Amino acid sequence: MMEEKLELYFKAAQSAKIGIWKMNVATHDESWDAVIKCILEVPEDFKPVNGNGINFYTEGENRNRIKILIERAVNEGISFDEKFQITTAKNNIKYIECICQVEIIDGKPMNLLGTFQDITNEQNLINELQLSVEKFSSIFSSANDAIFIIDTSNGLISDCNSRSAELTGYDRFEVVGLHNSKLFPKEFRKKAGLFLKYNLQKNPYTVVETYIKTKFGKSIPVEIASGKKFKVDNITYLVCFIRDISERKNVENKLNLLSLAASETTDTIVIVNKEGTAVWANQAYLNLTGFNMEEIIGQKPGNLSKGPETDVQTILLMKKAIKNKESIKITILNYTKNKEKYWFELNITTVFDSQNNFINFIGVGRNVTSRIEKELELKRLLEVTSSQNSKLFNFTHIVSHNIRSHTSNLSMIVDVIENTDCVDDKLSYFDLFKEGTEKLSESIEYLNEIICVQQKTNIEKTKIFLKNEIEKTKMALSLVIKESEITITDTIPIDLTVTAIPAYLDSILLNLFTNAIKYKSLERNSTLEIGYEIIKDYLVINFKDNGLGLNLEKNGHKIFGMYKTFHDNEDAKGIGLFITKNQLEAMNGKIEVESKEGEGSNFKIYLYEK
Amino acid sequence: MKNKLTYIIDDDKLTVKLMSILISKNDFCEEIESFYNAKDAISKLKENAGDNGILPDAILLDLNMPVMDGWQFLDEFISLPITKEIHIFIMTSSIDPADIEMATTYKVVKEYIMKPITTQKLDDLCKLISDLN
Repeated sequence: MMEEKLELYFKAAQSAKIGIWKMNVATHDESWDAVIKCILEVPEDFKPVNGNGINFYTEGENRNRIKILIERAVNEGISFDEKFQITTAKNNIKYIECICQVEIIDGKPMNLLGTFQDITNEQNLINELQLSVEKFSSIFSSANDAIFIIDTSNGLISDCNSRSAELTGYDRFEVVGLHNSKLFPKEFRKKAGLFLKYNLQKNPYTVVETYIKTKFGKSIPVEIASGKKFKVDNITYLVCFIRDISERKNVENKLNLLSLAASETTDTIVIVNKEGTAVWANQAYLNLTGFNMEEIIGQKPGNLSKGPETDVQTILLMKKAIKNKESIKITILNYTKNKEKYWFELNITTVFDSQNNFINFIGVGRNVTSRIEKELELKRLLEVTSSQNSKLFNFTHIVSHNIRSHTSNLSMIVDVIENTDCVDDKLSYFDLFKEGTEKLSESIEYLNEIICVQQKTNIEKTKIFLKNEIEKTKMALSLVIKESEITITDTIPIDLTVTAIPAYLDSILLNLFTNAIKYKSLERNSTLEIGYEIIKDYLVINFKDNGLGLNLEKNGHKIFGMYKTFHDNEDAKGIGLFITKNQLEAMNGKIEVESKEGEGSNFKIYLYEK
Repeated sequence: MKNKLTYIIDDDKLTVKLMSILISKNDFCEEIESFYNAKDAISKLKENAGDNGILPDAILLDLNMPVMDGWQFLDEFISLPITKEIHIFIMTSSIDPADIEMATTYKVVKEYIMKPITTQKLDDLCKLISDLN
């Protein structure tokens, strides 16, 4: 009966892959069943002798432990149930559970009976679990976020990590058992409570921004993430991650300030992408240009703002800088949406990220119309002043030379008369005196004429048919023209009008006609061709002759000065061109000359037509 | 050495006439030759460049003249192949300091005389010439 039962056990054990072993304490005889041999990967006829079975236990802790346990069982009759790592005959690592019962007869241990079970699979599972637990607890404890686990049945915090303590200022033990609402300032409690309640019902991962209150009453901006729930013993726990976002908030606040500054400043700001099209503009820019945001975005701001008088060179400079992704500073004449002009000082700055990749252009500008207008006015005033100055210089020269030369002649005559003893001789010098005074009064008359021209800058200009005036001048000079055999032709249309003071135009035409006649060349048939062209705001009349011409390099600087003559003509007075120049300047015009000695001259009369 | 021949170069005929009268009453020189423009004077000088006997001893030169002014005359004069020492006196109604300054840059210019020319000034000039000689 007993035998049968034992046999049954063996079979059951075998089918459960549980090995059975037996050792006689006195003889140290050991017997192993087939299951053990299979686990140890030894042949079926393997005989364990002299306790060498111990050697399958992996050297070190495992082998030392089994040795002690066996000794205690043998000597003191203490049973054991332990797990070990073994190394099989084929050098495989396995985990086994060894249970040992001590058979005691007459108070003495007689036999050790035991089981030997391969638990490698189970052990591996346990190891994995242990690893996961370690991993998760390390995440839990070292996470940068504060993690709270809340018992949803009562709202108390059941666990938290060390970061929570840092964040809240509480000791970790103080936090555990605290009601979660205590973490939030009063005014945020309701919001936080609702959020947590919502997360209890729904599953998705959600985030909310709020504040927590530290132990010391300080409010810290945080972001709460929640959504993880787990259930233990019918109690649902909610995991909350709380992240300190003070730094982000600071940056956000700074950014908000910056963007407030950008949108509220009186300087205009436009942000332009690398293609040169606008992505944003501030209110000042919209106010200045008159465009709205939709009209600006996606457009090239330069294209929107340019107009007929915008300087092409400046536009090219700006385009080049944008193409080369360079910063640039320009001042440009722009137009608003309503085509009103304004001067725009623009600073285009390039923005690169930390990797030196180009991000965009920022154009900061301001309306400098009043400044530029003042500058232009100043420039104009400077021009007027310097032209007045050079006129004044001429006058000084006239006074110092022309008048002086006559008066010195007169005093020389007086000197001669004084030094002459004979009365008849004295009287004979009076003719010279008369000649001197006549010349003086002639000079003074010319001077008067020039001063008159320079004073009458405000005489009304009128529209005059130029062709008509040319014909009149020809008529007045018909005798001289005939005598000098000069051919005068013109290409002036009969209906062409010029804007001028009639008397001045008369005088200018007369002067240029007589000049062409006076300084004609004797070596060829003389011609004078009159043509016209339009240069910007001026109508330019060209008087082109084939006369003597003059060396502009030598005399160019004094051709329009007073009393300068360049040819050995008896009737050259050196006053005509000086008066012509003054008359033209009085009408906002000017005179220029192109000439070559021996070939002829071309006098260009600029009449201002605006 | 006595100042024999003097050129007067001035476009103002009245001045030339008066100068001649003053000089003839003075012992300034024996003979005067007048030019109403500087170009003619240059031609004459060029023509006689090799003959020291008929070249002038002194030239009274005006500055403001048509065709060729006093400065242009001086520039051309310097380039002439003349070995004789000819004293040039600028004689002008210009009191412009720039002109006086400019005159000092020409070595051949011995004196800058402001018009009107008086007997006194001619006497001083005589003394200067004899000092120079």
